[in-house]
Amino acid sequence: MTVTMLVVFLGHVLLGLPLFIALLTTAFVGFLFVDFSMIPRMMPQQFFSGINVFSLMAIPLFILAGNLMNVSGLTERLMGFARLIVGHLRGGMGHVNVVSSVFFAGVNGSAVADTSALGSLLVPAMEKEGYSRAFAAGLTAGSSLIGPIIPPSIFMILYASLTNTSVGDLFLAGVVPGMLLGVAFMGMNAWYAWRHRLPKSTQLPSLGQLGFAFIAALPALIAPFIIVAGIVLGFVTPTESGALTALYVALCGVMLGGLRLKECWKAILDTARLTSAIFLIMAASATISWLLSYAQVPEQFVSLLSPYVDNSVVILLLLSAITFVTGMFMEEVSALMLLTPIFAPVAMMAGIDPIHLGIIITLNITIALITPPLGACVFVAAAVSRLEIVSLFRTIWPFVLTAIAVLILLILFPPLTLWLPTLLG
Amino acid sequence: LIGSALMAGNAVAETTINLGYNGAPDPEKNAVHVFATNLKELVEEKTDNQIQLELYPNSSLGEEQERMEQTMSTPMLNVASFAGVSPLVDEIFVSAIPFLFDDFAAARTFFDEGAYWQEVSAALKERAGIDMLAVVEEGGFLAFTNNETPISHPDDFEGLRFRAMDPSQVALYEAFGASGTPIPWTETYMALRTGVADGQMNPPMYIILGSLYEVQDYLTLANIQYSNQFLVGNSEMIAGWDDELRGAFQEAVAEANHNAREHNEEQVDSRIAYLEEQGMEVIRPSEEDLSAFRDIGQPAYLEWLEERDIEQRWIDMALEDAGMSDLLD
Amino acid sequence: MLNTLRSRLLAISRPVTLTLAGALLSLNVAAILFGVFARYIAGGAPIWTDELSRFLIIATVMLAAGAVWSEGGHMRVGLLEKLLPAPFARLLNVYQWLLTLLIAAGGAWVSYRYALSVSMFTTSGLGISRTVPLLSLPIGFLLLTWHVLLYGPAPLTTVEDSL
Ligand code: NA
Ligand code: NA
Repeated sequence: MTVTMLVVFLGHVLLGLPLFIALLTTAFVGFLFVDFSMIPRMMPQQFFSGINVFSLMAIPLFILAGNLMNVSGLTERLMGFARLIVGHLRGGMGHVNVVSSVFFAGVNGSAVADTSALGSLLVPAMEKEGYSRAFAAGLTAGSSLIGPIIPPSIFMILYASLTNTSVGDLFLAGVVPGMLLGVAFMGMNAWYAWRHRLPKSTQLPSLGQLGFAFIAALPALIAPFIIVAGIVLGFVTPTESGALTALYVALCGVMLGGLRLKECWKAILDTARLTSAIFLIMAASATISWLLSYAQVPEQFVSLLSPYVDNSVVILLLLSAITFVTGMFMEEVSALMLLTPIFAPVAMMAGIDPIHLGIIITLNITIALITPPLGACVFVAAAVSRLEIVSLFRTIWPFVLTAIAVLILLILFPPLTLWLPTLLG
Repeated sequence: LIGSALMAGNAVAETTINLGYNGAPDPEKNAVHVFATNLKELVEEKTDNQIQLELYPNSSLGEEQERMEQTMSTPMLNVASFAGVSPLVDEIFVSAIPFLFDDFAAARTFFDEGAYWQEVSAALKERAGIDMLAVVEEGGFLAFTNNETPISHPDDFEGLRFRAMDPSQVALYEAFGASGTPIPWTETYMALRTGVADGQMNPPMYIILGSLYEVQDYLTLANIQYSNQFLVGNSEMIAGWDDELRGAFQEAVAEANHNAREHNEEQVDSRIAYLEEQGMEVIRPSEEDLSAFRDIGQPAYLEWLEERDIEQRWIDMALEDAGMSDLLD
Repeated sequence: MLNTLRSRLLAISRPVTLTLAGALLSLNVAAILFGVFARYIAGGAPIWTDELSRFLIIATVMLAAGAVWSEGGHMRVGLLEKLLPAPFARLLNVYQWLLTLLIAAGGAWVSYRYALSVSMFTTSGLGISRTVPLLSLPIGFLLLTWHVLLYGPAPLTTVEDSL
């Protein structure tokens, strides 16, 4: 059954069906194997309940916050501040790209919004400084991975709702890994800049300029602290925090000038579009998840891996490898929804902290955003930089490898994730 | 000869029935899981394997309401909580009137022999085609915990902030002069730790499960509510069995439920002892204080039931069964 | 003649459903914010905001489904149809169209029957029949069917074309 479902699914993905249609077709075929008569009840029931979860309501709100950031001019302020801090270094624009992603990550929960917002402005600027367009697009896609790792994060909200772990703890656990990713990509950029002898600006920004840019970016810079503190201290749920962030960004946009009702409405419509696309996939995945657990596939999987449960590093590496391959061929949200319920019991048996597992899975799923052939961020980066998708598929691999190196570091040293939530929790 | 014996043994068809429930398949932490595994054993033994149970822990068949829908339309068993039964029989909230039972014996008599519970069962069968098979104890009575002051009397609640699970709990806290804020279970530990809430109420099992003893100093054993879940099954399936099979099945349910209650009662004392070892101060209010809790808490809850448009006759029946008709005046 | 009618209908129903979806999304933001303010300023949070928010988002998702499909906004891999020779690509488009139509129409019918079958359940927050929120499903699938029919078996745009 599992094999047939896999073939049907991959077949329909390659045939170009929208993913939720491919998923529903797969579920339909799977039900034929188990019990045809369940279809009229179980498919609509699980389709509905897959998205009838309060914590998931944070997703559209953080997408909205990201969209509002872009139309309110806050994204540009963040970029301006980043430019003053690191812009004068060799390969300055590349560093700006990474640092902006770190700043942007603090408000935004999705990597795709990051890629499209920063890419369209930064890829041309990087090219002007002497970068190849492929590297610039690759760095944009790669550094956008920081978005879902530094809180807030849609993937973490999803993971938390699937495993009943605390969103606040997960958010805290993501801060250090997100910074590590940033450092890794800046390292890559520095190496590229040094090898290609990119120019170095001799003009250091004055303290006044720096202070001015800092104040201009301040409203956007403090937003993440408000978001994380509100959730961690238990004042608001992640969903409420999403709504407050959207409101905050909109108010900043209005007060700092630039945000008009028309743009606000456009941001809302775009959010409705993307929410529809993501939630339909989640709903369709839920029907498959239910079927798999009904057919007790997770139990079979657990017994398959049980010989290795003595070694949590081996288990995490195995789970990561499976996620990586799955992520290459699957949309990330649905991959996360399918894999988490199967992985969580294995990890529990191996004595892995659910928060640690959450960060590992989130990073894995995030890496899948830039792995060919089905990485959303690669598509968007190629589009915004007007690059042939296949050529970006070739240059993206060093970025994938860098992210994997960070992943392995986290697997080997769990304190990198668990230190902050233990300290503050 | 062996062949014919085998054939005879298989003459009655075996059926496999799914049993869904909440919580991890961990006997240490999940009382419902202990009940389910025991039930599976007993049903298979007593029906000569004619009925076999397939266990689905972790809500893997679906959440509360979804499992009830499945139980309505397909031959299966389900252990439901309040959240599963109340969308079909709202009147079940009457059984959660606070301080209704003095001890386990009183609660068990109420559910096993009372007229109110029979009416609830009949309503469930009539409205949804689901049989109420057993009331399963899961963790003892609910107790108050908090980290501000040792609560032994309703007056001690003044000004405290409590985590509430649902609006009925908010009503109760407000009656005591405290305030109630809805906080999901997964965020409760953090909320108590950071002082977003000062206290909460739960049976000792959940206080241990959520490590709440780490962030709460005082435990007040006020027998607030009886903590239970409900074994339910598809009526058509059960009616379809012959008398002998149904009898064997019901015997197995009764025995499993009896075992679960013994197990639960045994655990409650050791759990409280464990919480004491972890540094919680255990407060056992006097008879007088308990009646003060009752006198203030019950009217507030009854008012809340009225707001929910639950017919008075259900409340009358339940109070009669619990020997508290004096409240009706 | 028929084609102009089709494209005109599409040009109307797409923005109309999207506007409705956007309105429901805005209402959702308002409901959640109301819940927060009620808790910290009025001192007591209503219990129905959580449920209302879930039902509004599900309605948003389902309402927008068809419009987003016709814009090519649902995530998919459109590589194969670009690599195939034109006649085969055409055939592939027909298969995509037929399967989507089938799933959408089937989904509308099945979820309609299901929604009606759970009317005896009352939702815990708003206290309404469970059928009400579930009707989003058949309406959404019906709108998807409608948009798929109007669009016809023409090639869909993909993310990389649209940006
Ligand atoms: Na983020
Ligand atoms: Na991918």
